[in-house]
Amino acid sequence: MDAPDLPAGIMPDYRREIPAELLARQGSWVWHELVQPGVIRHLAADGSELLTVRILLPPNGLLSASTLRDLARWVREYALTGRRTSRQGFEFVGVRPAKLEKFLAELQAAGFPAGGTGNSLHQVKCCTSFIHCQNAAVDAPSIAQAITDYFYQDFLQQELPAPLKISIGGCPNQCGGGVEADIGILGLYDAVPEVDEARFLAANIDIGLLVSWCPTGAIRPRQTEKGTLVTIDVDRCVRCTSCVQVAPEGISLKKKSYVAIAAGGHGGNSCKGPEMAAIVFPRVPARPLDYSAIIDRIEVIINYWRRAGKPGERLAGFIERTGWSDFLATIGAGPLEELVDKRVPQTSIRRDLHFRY
Amino acid sequence: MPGDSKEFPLCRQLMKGPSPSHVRELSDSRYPLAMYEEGLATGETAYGHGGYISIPELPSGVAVRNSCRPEIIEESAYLRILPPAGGWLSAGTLEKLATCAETYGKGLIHLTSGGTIEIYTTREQMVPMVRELNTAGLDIGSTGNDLRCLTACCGPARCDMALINAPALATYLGQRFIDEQQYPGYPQKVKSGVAGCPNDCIRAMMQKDHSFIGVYRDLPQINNEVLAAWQQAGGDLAGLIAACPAGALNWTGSTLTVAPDRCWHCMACINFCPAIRPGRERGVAWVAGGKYGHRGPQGPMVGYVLVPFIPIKDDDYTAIGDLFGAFLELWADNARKKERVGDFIVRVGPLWVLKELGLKVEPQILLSPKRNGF
Repeated sequence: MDAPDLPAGIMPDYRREIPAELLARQGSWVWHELVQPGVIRHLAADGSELLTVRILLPPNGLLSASTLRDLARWVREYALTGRRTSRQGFEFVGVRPAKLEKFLAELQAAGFPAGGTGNSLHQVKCCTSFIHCQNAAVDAPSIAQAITDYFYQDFLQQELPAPLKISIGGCPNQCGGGVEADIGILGLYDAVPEVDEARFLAANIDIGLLVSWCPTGAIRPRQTEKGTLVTIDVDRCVRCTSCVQVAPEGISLKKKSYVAIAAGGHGGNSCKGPEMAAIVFPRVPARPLDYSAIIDRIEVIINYWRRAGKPGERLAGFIERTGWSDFLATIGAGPLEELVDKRVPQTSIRRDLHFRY
Repeated sequence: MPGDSKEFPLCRQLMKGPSPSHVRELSDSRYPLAMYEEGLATGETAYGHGGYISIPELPSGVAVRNSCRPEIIEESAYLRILPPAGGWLSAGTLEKLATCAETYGKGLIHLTSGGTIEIYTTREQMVPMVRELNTAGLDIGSTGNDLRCLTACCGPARCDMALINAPALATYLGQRFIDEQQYPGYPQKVKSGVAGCPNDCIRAMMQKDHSFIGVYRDLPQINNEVLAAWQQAGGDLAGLIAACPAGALNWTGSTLTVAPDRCWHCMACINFCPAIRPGRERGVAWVAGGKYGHRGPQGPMVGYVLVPFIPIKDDDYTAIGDLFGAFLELWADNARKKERVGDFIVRVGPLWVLKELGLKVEPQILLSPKRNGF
């Protein structure tokens, strides 16, 4: 083999983040239980235990250096190590049992309360949006903040039928993962992209990539005397903004936007297997910072599930049991014609007569 | 500071609620809050189309957001850091990140939803910051059309469900494919995840183009003594039996058994009851094609299980690394420009992928046989 011609980079080894005493116990855990909201106790076969405290972080996992130092100080004082969770929260692993009460009080006083474990609302995961992104149709962090404030008690207690996860992605890229959670919020554009002919011609755009990346074939090349231009078919366009990604110089859209609310996504394999959430409210206004229309609809979904869900039943399982027709009718979803797949009608319209009225 | 003046009314409103506020973090740093306020006030982002940039001496992981409001800030650059697998962050690493963000950046770090860590900074500060990160054993990468950072769940260091050492496998793959993580050479980005068990807490099967999920092949192990103690303590046996989606649990009146021909090898009973533990014959399932984004002909999709079981023995991950590399090469050679792995597999067909890689179709990966004769 030739000698590598690139400077070798560093992939950090996770083992150096974990103290040797904890690393030595790798694989010894046999069970876990939730001591109280935000506190998880892992048990080993020999009866020894490991405490984890999970806290809420600000939306989008944004932390100032001083908060980061607070986290580090808490790790040093009360725990063995820490980890960021996949939902943009933070956990202190190996918390010393004798110091637990003092630690929880200190976290509460600092504004980072323990919570978001078990049958509670977990950390709301979201993308960066207006804080640092050019693609955002809506501002996910402020929606996350509004939801977190409104449903705050549900983070701090474990009174829901099962865990509830909410994710928000601000644009069709869905970096925040709006399609994967029990309740997902997807920022979408209303406007059809527009071609600025002069800027488009000046920018020397890869027409082949532009045409091939459009998933619906809505964009077609058009030869003119000035050069190759494109036209966008309004009826075919699904506003996925792929063309804007390829040709930001020549194609733009009026940033008129809304959100769709989806329900029933779940990740694990223990029921039907991983499933994307399905859109139930296709078009909800999301003008900053008035998010009452979103919160009202989420509340309707949560309340129905809270009222009629069986213990341990995730939102997806609940919808499967009650049936989509009943679920859509009860939460007042719609308009229904917008919930049918536009492109592949076989997928979302029934082909059996198993109706439930 | 928005708290001190009449400025930034919308940002101030976001600091009022009971929960931790991102605006409080922003205002504690040198982030230009006027940009966020501008976005909230107009209802559209104040950032313009940005992109990955090239800085001499630095690999990928370097990007910039252009500004639509140059009077507030000319542009905002950022560095993307390859994080330790499993999200593990010791106090020392947290402090190091804080120091780097404060000294060379805007005093703000971002734990992204994709699993990386970003620091907002300026182009001039990037090289010194990366030098400092390198001395701390961290490096940048994971932007553009490259192998994006390998995420993993917390693994057996903390979790009682972990079937494989997910962070160790992610670290192995990350070290072996470090050049692919740092030097973009692919048709499109490719994201990867390693989950320790079918619970897939990190949503690898949905989010990641390429994921390895810990699985077990034998039956869940039932300890009837622990079961009796669990029932004594108020364990819900009927609930346990009902929780099995396959109806594979049988209670004879004194013992609990699993019907071998019915068990799906999911985690439902194992999650429910401490008396049931995962089987001992462990390996990974290879899943390819998951994505969240609404781009490409398929839009968002859950990945396809292409190989149901690859055994892992003695923490030797070579065979998995070989498969990973072989698939990435196949995809890179044959994918269209900007074609994600999921769209690629749909276009060429999963059968072709398996054939090219010299793999056989296992019956486990079929949801049902095809219904046409072509």
